[in-house]
Amino acid sequence: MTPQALTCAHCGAPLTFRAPFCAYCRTIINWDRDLLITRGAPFFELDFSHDKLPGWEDAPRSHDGAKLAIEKDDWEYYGSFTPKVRNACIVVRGVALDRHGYIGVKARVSGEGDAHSGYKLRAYPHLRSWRLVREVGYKQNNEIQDMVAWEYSAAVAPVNELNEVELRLADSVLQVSINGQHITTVYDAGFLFGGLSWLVGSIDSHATVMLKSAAAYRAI
Amino acid sequence: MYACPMCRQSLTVNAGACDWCAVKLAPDEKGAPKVVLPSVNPGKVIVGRDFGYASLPSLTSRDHKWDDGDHVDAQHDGLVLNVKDGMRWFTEPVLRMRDGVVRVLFDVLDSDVRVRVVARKQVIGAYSLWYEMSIYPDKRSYRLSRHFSSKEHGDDTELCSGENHPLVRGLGGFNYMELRVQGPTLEGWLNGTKVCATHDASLGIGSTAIAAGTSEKSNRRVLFRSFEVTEVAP
Repeated sequence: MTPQALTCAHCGAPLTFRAPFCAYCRTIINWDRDLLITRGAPFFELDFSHDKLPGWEDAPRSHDGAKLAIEKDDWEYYGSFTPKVRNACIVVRGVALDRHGYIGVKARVSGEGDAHSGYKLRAYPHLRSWRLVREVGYKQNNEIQDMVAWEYSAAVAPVNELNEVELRLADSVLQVSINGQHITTVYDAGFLFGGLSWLVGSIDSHATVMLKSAAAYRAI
Repeated sequence: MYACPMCRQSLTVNAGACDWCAVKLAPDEKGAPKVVLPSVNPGKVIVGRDFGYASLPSLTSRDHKWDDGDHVDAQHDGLVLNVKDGMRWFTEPVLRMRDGVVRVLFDVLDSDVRVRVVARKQVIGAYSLWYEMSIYPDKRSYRLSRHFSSKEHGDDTELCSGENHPLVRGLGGFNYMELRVQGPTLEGWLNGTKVCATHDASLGIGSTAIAAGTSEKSNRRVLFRSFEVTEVAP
């Protein structure tokens, strides 16, 4: 069996984080440490210099990746990857080619008809900042709640440099990693299952972003 | 190659749990994967409201009248909600929980009334998401479902349901309805018997509530007798 984050040491059944006992074997669980989520085997790895960008298959591609021009102010493009998962590490690598662009990931995206919900992690190269939110919306109207509001981090590379934005999820544990640096751990049980997406966007004005690659890994 | 019976995504050979949705699996007699769900047992009471003397959750008095004419009348054996053309919600204040058992005891006195017991209700801006177990006593039907709601739109996903079910008591009879949630396991109980169980990990935490309503334009009545929220027990 593939190793998974959060399994009962006694019976091997899936656990929820900080559950007082295993739901299956009823063994009492002592949570004596926090969870550090690491990447396991890949669910998928895509290189946008030759793989199509999900949801934007016609985006112009070169040896550098897929180039996306966001031609509206304060707008966002995204595309969904195939699997829906509970525990995973979702990684997107890209370059904001001007000061208005940003890069990010969505996770645990689920829908009821035209309504949708999920987590969204965004890195803003010009501001060298990042932000993690909960999002719920209907069609193109969204409501967001900050989980971690805009925060400066030297881990975010500036405009025209490569950023690797990663969200690691195992049950209610969410870990933010940017360019290989673990930035923070957030606990939130709001959404626990759903799809994965890349996202790029513009703030204040039009923006251009080059997406180089994306991957998702098992969370172990 | 088998697909997970819950999320329909492909499984690795002899998987003990789905890689995608993390539901526990075991082989059936033909070797195909079947879902293994744990039982959810009620534990200590966290909230107990006997409506013979307590108010409905989120209301401060036992008698209450809304501007549109809906009202609650106190009786010795409970609270009678009079509702028309919509749904009235009674959300337990403060309490926000992952795992628990939510129970309501009530009698529906008129036709075309639906009563809900709700867990893991999250409100984000103008939008709400939740799980509910609901019944229509006059149709003898129940439904366990996941919901999204906003002012302009509502949508839901049915997780399990039953029509003409013998455990749903009709008009004037009392019904004791429970929604049990533990991790991704959801159970619906009616009058002391489990009628459905499923795995859905979409929503993990939120408020508990009861609600009743009708699409009819004239008054409909529900007698609420009690409401209880408990922990889950090993």
